[in-house]
Amino acid sequence: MIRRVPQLFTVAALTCALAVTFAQRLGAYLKLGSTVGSSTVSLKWGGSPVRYFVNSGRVPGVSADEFRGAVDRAFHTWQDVPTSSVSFEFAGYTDAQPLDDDNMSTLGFLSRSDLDRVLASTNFLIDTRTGQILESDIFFNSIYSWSVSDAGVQGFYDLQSIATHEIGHFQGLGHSALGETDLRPGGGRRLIAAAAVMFPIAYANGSTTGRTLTADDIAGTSDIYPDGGFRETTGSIEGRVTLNGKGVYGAHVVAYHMQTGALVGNFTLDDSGSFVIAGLQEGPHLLRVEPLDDADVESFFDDSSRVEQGFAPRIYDRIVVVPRGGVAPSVTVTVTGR
Amino acid sequence: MMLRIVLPGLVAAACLLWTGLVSAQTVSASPRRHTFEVTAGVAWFGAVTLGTGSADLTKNQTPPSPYPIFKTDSSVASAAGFDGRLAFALTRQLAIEGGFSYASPMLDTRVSGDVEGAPAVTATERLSQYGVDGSVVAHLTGWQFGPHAVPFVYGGAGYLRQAHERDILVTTGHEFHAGGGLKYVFRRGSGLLKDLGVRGDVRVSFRSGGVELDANEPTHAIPVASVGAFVRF
Repeated sequence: MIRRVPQLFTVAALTCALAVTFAQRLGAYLKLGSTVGSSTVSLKWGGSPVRYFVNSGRVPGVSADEFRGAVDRAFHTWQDVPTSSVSFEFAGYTDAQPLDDDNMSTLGFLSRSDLDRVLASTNFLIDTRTGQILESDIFFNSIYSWSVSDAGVQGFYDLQSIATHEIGHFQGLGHSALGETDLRPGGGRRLIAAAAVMFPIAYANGSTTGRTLTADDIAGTSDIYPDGGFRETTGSIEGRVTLNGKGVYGAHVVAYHMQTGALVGNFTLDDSGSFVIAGLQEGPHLLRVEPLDDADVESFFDDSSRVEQGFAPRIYDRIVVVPRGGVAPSVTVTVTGR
Repeated sequence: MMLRIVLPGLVAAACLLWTGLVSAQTVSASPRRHTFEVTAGVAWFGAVTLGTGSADLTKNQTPPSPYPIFKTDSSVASAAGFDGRLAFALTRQLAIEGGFSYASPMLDTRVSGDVEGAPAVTATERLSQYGVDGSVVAHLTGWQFGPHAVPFVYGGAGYLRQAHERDILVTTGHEFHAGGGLKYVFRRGSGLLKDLGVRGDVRVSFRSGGVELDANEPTHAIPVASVGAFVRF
């Protein structure tokens, strides 16, 4: 069965992505997925290189060639991850629009004033039985001002940064919660800081920080498309988060590498509070558990009512050592109510 | 980097010079030529500061800057352990010695300053620490305290192996050391077992490798003290 996955736009201020179904159970990283009966399959492309088209339209300040250059660089950012096998290929310019069902994965601008808090969005056509992505389109909302300047321009959103985020979705990644935000008086959230391109709220206009992948992003793409000894050279941490003796669903668990400072996060993804954080460099780690309260829960989970947020952040009081190519001994982190 | 190589070397050279200038005592607590000395005892290994760290997000500003969500301060705690030595006396004054040590110190990391108010904690893990070393020992026979006690100095180098819990991850390193102590002979013999005594010493071990958290601080100076009983044959 083939179907167009409906877009579920987040409503966070200047959010730059969509969600499909958040699929993953005990894999690593939050991946997009499709529900088949009682199980869920992760979205991914069936082969590489994945071919994409660029809409030949333009917006003020960004020609079609400049647009293509920026998205090319963003695709290469992901393609250059040595532990991921996914690759991309520019297939040509097209007059097709990003949301057309035409077996062409198309990137381009659309004017969507109805989505006044959305910078860009990714949309999929998938085989719902296998999770295979058949087509994926990305549109950039032309109601905003865009820049392809190397250094970024104040007042203009950096096209390459936002494309890097959307291309994360394009390959099947969900959102990361590695970020801190505060609420804006007029609604929505303002990003304070982040440690993942895949955080659902964009850096401010003028910033080019979102062009650079972090350890969390690299772990995510490598988990979907493992290559270059990824499974053999990295390890994982698994365990449970409990509150009053019961598993916590939707807790955000972050592993901090004590030598490199790398941060990689994931969520507890079932009612027993189980989590797995994979793609970790070998070595000692600290674990921090927090409620998912720095972005709209709907940006991460379909069923937000299940997500437990009524607990206080906690740092686990044991150092967890990740072996190369293996799994650290299971841990249980007990959190307390706020 | 020069310090760790030069210091033990200078100590050893000075000792050799000094011991060469003094004459041997008629009755000496130092080992007889071409005898072995086996020592078994306990050692105390001093704490090692591993430095501070910070779990950083990237702040939403231009240019970007770190935004810590918590900070860390780590150390390997002091610990008691086993220390064993086998020495061979080349002369009354000079011996070569091999050593083995084991301890199980805690790796402690104080985590504080959480951005969302998570309580500060000390996260811990127990390490297994093994050391194998070789030394040159100079007995300071000219400074002997009567017929039973002789001071000594020594210096050398060794191999360090530190394993995280359950041997999940093993890290290795090397060390250079220099120190001194006192040997006290309380029983002399003339058969196979020639002398029985006790030994106490302190040394400074300059370590590189092993459990490291801060790449900018690759060498640590660690005090080590040991006491043990020895037998000569």
